[in-house]
Amino acid sequence: MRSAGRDHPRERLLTPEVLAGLANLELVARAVVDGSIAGLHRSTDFGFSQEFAEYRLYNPGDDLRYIDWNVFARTDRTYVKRFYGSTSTRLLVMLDVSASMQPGLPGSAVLSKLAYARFVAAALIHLAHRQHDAAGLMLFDDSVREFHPPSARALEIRHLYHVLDKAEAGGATRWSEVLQQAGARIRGRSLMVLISDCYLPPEAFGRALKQLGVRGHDLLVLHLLTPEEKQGPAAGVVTLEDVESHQRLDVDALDLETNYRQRLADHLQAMRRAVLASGGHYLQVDTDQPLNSMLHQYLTFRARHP
Amino acid sequence: MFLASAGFLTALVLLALPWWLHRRESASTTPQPVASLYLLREASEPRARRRVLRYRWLLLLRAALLSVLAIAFAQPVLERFISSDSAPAAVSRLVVVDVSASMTAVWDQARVQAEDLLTGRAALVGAGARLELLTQMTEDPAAHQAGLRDLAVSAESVSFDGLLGRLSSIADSLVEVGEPLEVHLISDFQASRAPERFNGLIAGATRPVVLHPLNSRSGNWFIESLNADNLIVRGLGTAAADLPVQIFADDELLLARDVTVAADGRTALPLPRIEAGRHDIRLTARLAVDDALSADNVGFYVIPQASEQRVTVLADVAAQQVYVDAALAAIGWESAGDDLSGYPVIALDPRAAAEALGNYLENGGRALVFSGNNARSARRLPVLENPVVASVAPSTGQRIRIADQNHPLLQALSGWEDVLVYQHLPVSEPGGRVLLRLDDGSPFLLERETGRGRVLVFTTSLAPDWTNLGAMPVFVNLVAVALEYLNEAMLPVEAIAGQRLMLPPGNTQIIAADGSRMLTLQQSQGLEPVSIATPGHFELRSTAGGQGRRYLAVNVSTLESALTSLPPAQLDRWQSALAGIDSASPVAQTVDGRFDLPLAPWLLLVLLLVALLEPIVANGIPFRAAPAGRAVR
Repeated sequence: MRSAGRDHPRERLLTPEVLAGLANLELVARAVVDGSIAGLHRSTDFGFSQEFAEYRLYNPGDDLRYIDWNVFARTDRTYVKRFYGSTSTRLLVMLDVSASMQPGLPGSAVLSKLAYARFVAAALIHLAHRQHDAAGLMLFDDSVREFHPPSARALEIRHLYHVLDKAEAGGATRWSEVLQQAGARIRGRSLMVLISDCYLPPEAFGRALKQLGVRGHDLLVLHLLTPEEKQGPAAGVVTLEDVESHQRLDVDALDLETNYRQRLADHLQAMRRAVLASGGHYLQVDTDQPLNSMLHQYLTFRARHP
Repeated sequence: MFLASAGFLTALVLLALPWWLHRRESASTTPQPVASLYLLREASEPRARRRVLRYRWLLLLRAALLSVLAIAFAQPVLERFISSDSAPAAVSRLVVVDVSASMTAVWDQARVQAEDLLTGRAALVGAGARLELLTQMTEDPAAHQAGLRDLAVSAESVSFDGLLGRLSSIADSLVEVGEPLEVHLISDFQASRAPERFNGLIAGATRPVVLHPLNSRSGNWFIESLNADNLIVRGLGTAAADLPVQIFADDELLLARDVTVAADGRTALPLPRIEAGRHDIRLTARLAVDDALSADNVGFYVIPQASEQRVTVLADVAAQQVYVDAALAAIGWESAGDDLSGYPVIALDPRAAAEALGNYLENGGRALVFSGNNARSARRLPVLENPVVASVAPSTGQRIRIADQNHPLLQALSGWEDVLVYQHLPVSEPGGRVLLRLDDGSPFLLERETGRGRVLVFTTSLAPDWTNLGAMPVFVNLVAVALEYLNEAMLPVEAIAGQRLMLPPGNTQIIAADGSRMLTLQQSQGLEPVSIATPGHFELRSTAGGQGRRYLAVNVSTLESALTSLPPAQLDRWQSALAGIDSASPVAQTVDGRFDLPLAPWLLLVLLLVALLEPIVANGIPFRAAPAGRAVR
C-alpha cells in the first residue's frame, strides 16, 4: 500500500476544497474511492465479489453454492471459485448531525465538519457498494433523525446519497439513547462507522459504545477535528456561546494559549482509550486532510479487521 | 410638591425601561459561537464590560413619549395638590332623609342625624314618593333649620330602585360642574322597598353616597286589607295578641271587637253586610294598638254606590240594534230593549223626544248615540246638533285614526285598523271633543258634557252599508269601555298614598276631609296625574257625575308595614359599590341611563401600554431564548 501524499496531482484533486466544488455527492464518492484505490495493489483478501481470482480445492465446510460444477464434470474434481475484494460486510454509517457539526461557524475552513463528514460517509458507502456489500445510514442528533438499514440494492444506495445531501445540522446530541436505538435496529453483525466531533466526556462515550460492542458489532469511530478546533478559538474572543446548549462562557485568552491544546490532546487520547476499551476502533480525522488519505486509513483498518 | 406624587415617580421608573433596553455591550464582547464549550474553562476573574447605548435617537423618541404620558397622568395629581394647598377641601353635602311612612318609628333619630349633617354648604331633600327639595344648597344655618322644620314623615313610600340616580340629578343641579359633593342618605332601608336586582340600588349614581342606616323596631301590627266583606289584621315580627278593632261606616261605629292575632300571623274579621245606596259608603277600620308604626293601624275603603245609572244607547234603525244587542250581551249588560218602564217620560213627538233627551242629559243621563238615516235627513247630528256640512257620499272605505291619545276611553282599545267606514255625516267640529277621526279628517266620534250628563256620538250608523265597525272585534270592547266610561266607573275608588292617578277628562275635584280642594286646574281636567300624600277618604266631585257622592280611599302602602331592614351585608355591598365614585370627576350619564366613562384616561392608558410594550417587543426581549447555563454578567 502506498502512502498518501498531498503533492501528488491526483491527490490534490481529492482535497476537501476541490471536492466541495462537486455538486453531486455520488460523483464525489466515486472520485474519492476510485482515486484512492486506483494504483493500489489488489487486495490479497479473497472474498465473494464478482471479480474471479482462482480455483481452490473444495474443503469440507465450504459453501456448496461456489463449487464450479463444470470443472467437476470435466475433471471429476470439486473446486470452488474465489473472488477478489469481497468482504461480505454490512456497513452502517452513523453520522452526527448535531449543531456542533454545522457549517458557518466563524473562523471555520471551507468545509464544515458536516460537509466533510458527508464526503466521508458517501465514500464509505460507495466503497461498500463497489464491493457488493450492503450499506446503511443513520443520521442522529438528540434522537435518530433518519435510519436506513443496510442494503446492497443500487437504488437504495443512491437514496442514501440523497439523504446525505439533504442532511442539515441542528440540536444537541444524546449519545446513550441514540446508540442504544441504533443497536436495537440493526440486525446481524455489522460494521458501524460513527462519524462525529465527539464533544462529550470520554467515560460517558465509552459507556455508550459498549452497548454496541456487546451485540457483536464492529465499531469504527471517526473523530472529526477542524483546524480551528485544533488551534483553539481566536485569542481576541473572550465570550463564547455553545451552539448546542447556548451556554455562554467568558474565557481567558491566556488560558486558551497555554492550556487548551493540552486539554485537547488529553481529550483525544482519552477518547481513543474509551473507544478501544469498548471494543471499537478509533481514527482521528482532520477536516483539512485530503479524503483519500482518510480513505487509506480506513482501508488499512479494514485490512487489519476484515 | 407634585414632584413627590406617585404618578411622577412612577414615570421616572418607566423612563428607565427604554434606557435599559437600549444599552448593550461593546461590539468586541459579542458572544462567539463555538461547537462546544467542553474543552474550555471559565476565566478566573470576571471581566468588566463597557456598555454603550445604541439607537440613541430612537431612545430619545421613546423617552419623550413616556415623559408626555407621565405628565398627562400626573396632571390630575398636580391639580389635586394645588387645590389642596390653596384651600381646604370644601365638599358640599346633599342630605336626603327618607320620609316614608315606615320612618315614623325612627323619625327622631333621622332628624338628629340630618341636623348633624346640615353643616357648611348643604341642602336638604325629603324622599317620599317624590323628591322634595326643602332647602337649596346654602351655608345659612337658618335656612337649614327652616328645612328641618318642614321635614315631616309622610304616608308615602319611596322605592330605592333608581333613587340614587334621581338624587344625582338633583345634586348636579345644585352645584357647579366639578364641585365636590357628597350625598348622605338617612333611611331605615326597608327590605320591602329594595329592587329585585342589586343594580337598581346604584343605577344612575354619579356622586359619592354615604348611607346612614337607622335601626327600627321590627314588630308591627297593621291592617292588611279592608273591603266590604272583611277586615284582615296582620302582625309582622309580633307576638300573639288580642287587638281591639273599631270599624266605622260613614263616621258611624259599625263594629267594635277584639281580634286575636297569632304570633307573626294574620286574622280575618268578617263584616256585617252593608247595602250600598245612592252614595258611596266610607269604611274606616282602626286598630287600637301601640306599635312601631301607627299610620298603618288605620284602613280606609269605599263601598261604591249601587249601580243605578243607566246609559241610553240610541240607534235609529233595527239594523244597528242587532250589533248593539250582540255587544251588550257579550259584555254582560242587560238591555231594556222595548221595555221603557224604567224611564219616567216617554215622548213620542220628535221635538218632545229631543227635548226630553236634553233634559235627561242635563240631569246626569248618559247616552251612546249612533247616527243614521234620520240624522242625514235632518242634516243635524243627534243630541249635539252639529250641522251636516256636506252631502253624505259613499266611499270605498276610510280608516279610523285616534285624535285624542290621552283619552281614557281610547287607551284601552286597539284594532281600529280593520275598521272601514263607507258613509258618515260630515259635521262641523264645534260642539264636542273629537276622539276619533276618519282619514279625511272629519270627526267620527265626539264627546260632550251636557249639564251633568255626558254623551258620545258617532257620525255613522252601524248598518253594513255605512261601516263594518259593528262586525269587528273592537266594537264589543268599544261598547264595554264606553258604557263603563259613561257610567263613571272609571273614577278611582282606591289608591296608595303617593300613587299617581289620572282622573277622567272633564272637571273633577278632590275635596279633603277639611273641605279644601286638592287639585290644580290641569289635574282636575284629567291632563296631569294626581298624587295624594295622606291617607283617608277624599270626596270626588265631578260636574258630570251628579248622581251621588263619590269617594276615594287612600291607604298607606303595606310595603311600609314590613319594618325589616336590608341585611348589613347587603348594605355594606351597596356602600362599597358607591364608595368608588369620584366626587370631583362625576361620571357622565347618558339619557338612557347607561354610563359613559370619560374616554381620555383610557386612551392615555392604552398609549402608555403601547409605549411600554413597543420597545420590549421591538428589542426582542420576550423572544430571546433564556440561556440554559450561566448568564452573561
